[in-house]
Amino acid sequence: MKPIIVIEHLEPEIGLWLLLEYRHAGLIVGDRDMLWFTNIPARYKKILYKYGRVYDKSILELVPQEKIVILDPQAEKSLTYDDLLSKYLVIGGILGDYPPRGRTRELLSSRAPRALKRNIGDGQYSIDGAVYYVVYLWKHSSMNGFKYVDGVKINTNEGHIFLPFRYPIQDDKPLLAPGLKEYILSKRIPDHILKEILSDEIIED
Amino acid sequence: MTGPRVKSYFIDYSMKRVMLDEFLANYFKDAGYAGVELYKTPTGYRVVIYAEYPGRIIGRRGSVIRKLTTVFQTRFGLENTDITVSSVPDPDLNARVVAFRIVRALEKEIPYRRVALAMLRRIMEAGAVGAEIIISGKLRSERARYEKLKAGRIYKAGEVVEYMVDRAVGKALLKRGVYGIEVVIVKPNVRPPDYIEIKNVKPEELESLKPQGSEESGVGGEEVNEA
Repeated sequence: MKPIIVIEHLEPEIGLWLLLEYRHAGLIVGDRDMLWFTNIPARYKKILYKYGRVYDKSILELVPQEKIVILDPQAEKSLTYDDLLSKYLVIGGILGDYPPRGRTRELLSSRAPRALKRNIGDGQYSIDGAVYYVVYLWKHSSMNGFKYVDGVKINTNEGHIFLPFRYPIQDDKPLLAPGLKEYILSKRIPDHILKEILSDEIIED
Repeated sequence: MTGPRVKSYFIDYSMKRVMLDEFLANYFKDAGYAGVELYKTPTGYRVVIYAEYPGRIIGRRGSVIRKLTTVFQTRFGLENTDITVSSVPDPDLNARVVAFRIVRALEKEIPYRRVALAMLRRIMEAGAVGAEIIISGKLRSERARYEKLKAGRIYKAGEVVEYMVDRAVGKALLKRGVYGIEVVIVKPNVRPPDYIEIKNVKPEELESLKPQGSEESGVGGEEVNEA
């Protein structure tokens, strides 16, 4: 059975960057019932329910711990196809530091001693990148042919901006959330994305 | 052969200098600390401290200097030190001074990109060959990243780096976390090995400048072929 991907929100606020990554995660999964956002403050519910189910409680309170697999970069074992057969796959909704501070363990894994913990390689993925990884593993039942790149460089007029995270490669390009590049360069996101985020309608594929 | 005692003497001396440098950089960020020199004299040590604002290190009637003397004695074991404080000759071309200026500006919550661009312009106006400023951390309270701003020519590798490039690192502690600041300045008035000067030659002089012994090099080529 296809696992439900759960993004447990762990930052105090939801900024635009985080919102773009959540939105992209929703687009990758493409099914509202298969993506849950948990631990979301009430005022963001309206924005996020377009992309998945939204809960204000933590995933640890919603379902028994035995059914959970937590993706934690500090876990000892790597994620395999068999792990996806458990019901819920939890990704920490954290905008990471560089070098990583291990906040997924601090805020999530340590609270769930009975849950399984798995890593997805030694790099730090973005949230949408981790979702892409899981969906890829589910579709291809192995990680053969999966490519990634460590660090993405965005050129500006004066130099460049470097994002020190691991991004999957799709069609020979690193897979950044749509609108993220524009947001980093000009602090603004494209109008059609902004309109979509602020609208109340549920998008259909 | 150098004996172990000689080696340990020099290692000790360098360690002392590095520790002193770190200590001063930590405490005199606001004074625009730039560097330190340590000399051994027959009676004790002589320490020369360079800073953007020497007054901050000297203190009122030398009160801070007097404290420093005791700290040097108790913490670093430097007996009988004579401390001299002097100002930096060209503060805009000193990487450490610039890095600490950026740190102080960031701690006042001035937007990081504006600070970096203004400093870059200032360095280039002071006559530098090139400059690079890297600011990293959770810029604007989000995902960590780093931003590089460049101007002019920058040398990154080779022996040139040792005498042409000044590099310094500073860190600013803000609410969101630590920002790292790296400043690289390529100093002017030093000739790099790739320097080319074009001479002004009149057309009549061209004939005399043609290379003469071209046959000799041809003989050398044949030898290689035979081998």
